[in-house]
Amino acid sequence: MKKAILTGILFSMLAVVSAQNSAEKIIAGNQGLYIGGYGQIDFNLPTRDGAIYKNGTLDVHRIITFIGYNFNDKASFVSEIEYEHVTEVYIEQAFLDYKIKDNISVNAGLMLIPMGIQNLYHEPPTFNGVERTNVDKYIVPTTWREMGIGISGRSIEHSLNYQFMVVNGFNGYDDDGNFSGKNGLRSGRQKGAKSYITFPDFAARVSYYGQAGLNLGFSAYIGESESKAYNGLDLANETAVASADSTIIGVQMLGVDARYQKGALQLRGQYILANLSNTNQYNAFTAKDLGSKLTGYYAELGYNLLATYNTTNELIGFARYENYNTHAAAEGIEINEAYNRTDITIGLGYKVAKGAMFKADYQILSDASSEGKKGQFNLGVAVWF
Amino acid sequence: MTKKKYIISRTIALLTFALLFSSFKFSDWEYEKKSRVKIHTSISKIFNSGTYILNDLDDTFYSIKENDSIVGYLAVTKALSKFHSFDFYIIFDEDAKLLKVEILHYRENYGAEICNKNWLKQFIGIDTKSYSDLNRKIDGISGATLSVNSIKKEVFKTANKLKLNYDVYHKTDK
Repeated sequence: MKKAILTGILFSMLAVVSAQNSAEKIIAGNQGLYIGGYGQIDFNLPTRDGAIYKNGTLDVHRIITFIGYNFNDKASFVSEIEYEHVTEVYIEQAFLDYKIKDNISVNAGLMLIPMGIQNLYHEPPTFNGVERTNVDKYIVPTTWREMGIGISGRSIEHSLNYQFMVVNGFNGYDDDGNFSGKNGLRSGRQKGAKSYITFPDFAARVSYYGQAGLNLGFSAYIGESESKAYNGLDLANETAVASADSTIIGVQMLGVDARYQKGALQLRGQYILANLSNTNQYNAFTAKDLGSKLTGYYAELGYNLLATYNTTNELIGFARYENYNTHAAAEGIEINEAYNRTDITIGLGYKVAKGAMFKADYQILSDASSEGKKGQFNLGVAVWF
Repeated sequence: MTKKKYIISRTIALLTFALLFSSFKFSDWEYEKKSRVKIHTSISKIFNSGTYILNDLDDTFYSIKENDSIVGYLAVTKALSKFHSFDFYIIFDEDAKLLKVEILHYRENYGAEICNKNWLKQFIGIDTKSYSDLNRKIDGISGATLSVNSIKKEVFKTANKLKLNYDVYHKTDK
């Protein structure tokens, strides 16, 4: 009798122990290393008035290695190492994500600024066209990533995802101005390479996916650019402070985007508005021609031509209209109409697997200053795994 | 040892053995109230029953029984999102027809759009004979490509696993 009870107790203890272990095992079941990547390989052939006038270029545009590690269900590290044009190496993302609760995570490190569609979703098979949209090059300086800390999460009940982060701003001045009329803020990205900060900037994004197939996004970025003119500045010297103040600009960027998929149909569109302040002083001090307002938008229609065939491959025909203007307004300088640019892109993408795609398109590139239309023929390979 | 005492001790030993045995089969959702409530609510709503019995069949499947006959199946499984896995369940009727798909745990923000109930409704009654057919009928979600593909594949695989085995389940689970 005693023996039986003892065995019983032993067994029940074992049962409890093994139950805990198996549960822990399952909860920690996501532990481990994840390796992935994406890449974009391009052939670009510029044309003028319908004729080839320049050499074509062949470029391993970008190859990215994604390495993620899940320490447990709550803590994970994400990193992306990028090779651009074969010879340049960057870190595109490197942050620790710690989930406090189901709907709140803390993230810290080098993170993507949540602005518009392509800065966040830039894996080549996720967009149509060989090259990224130019709105997401000249207005949103994709891939825009900075150092900081933030929170992110979602509410599944309300079909919302959100992100909020405090980051360093653009490097606007380091002995020379980095912003320009043509490229906007693009050359000011610090990319986590010995980034510096005077005042923190703020970025936020909310996306709503309550309607099946529809994804709506609202993004905002508010802050000031950074300047090395503040380094070792004598704050008592009013002239020196005033001249340092001329090397920074205020940045307010807002974005709205929408993506919709239904059957063979894909629609997407985006509008970005950036208001910059203090550009008058900045341009006077640095001899640059930065506009005070940058705008950009695009609308795209895509259709999977193989939708009715018995295949998982997709042949997507698409057309996109895009306008981006880095001189939508300017202070103290003349507006340069050449910076008001319009691209029309028509092309095909053949998805031979979910993450592997051949792309071909033709772009008609024009600007408001000239009648002549330039063009570009593009061929590309896009992969994501 | 009296007969009564003998029976008691045997019962205790048997019970603990059963507990030990079943503990190896316990899966994640059975530990969590939230998941249990979600699954229970769905089953009782779909089969209009509060008295059903779940019977463990194998790693993935449970039979849903009422009055000793199988009315449907429950599968609790997982698939990969970008670099985490997510847990979800599927309810089938007794002929392996899909009645419900719902996410239990989604661990990263990327691709959380697949948790949308309206989107998941597309799986109800979907034909699971050919993958390319299923793939075509379920609309994609921009920004959640990886998770969309992985849940599609897992649903397809699970449904076909059930179809392969449900004759066996019917026989063994009588």
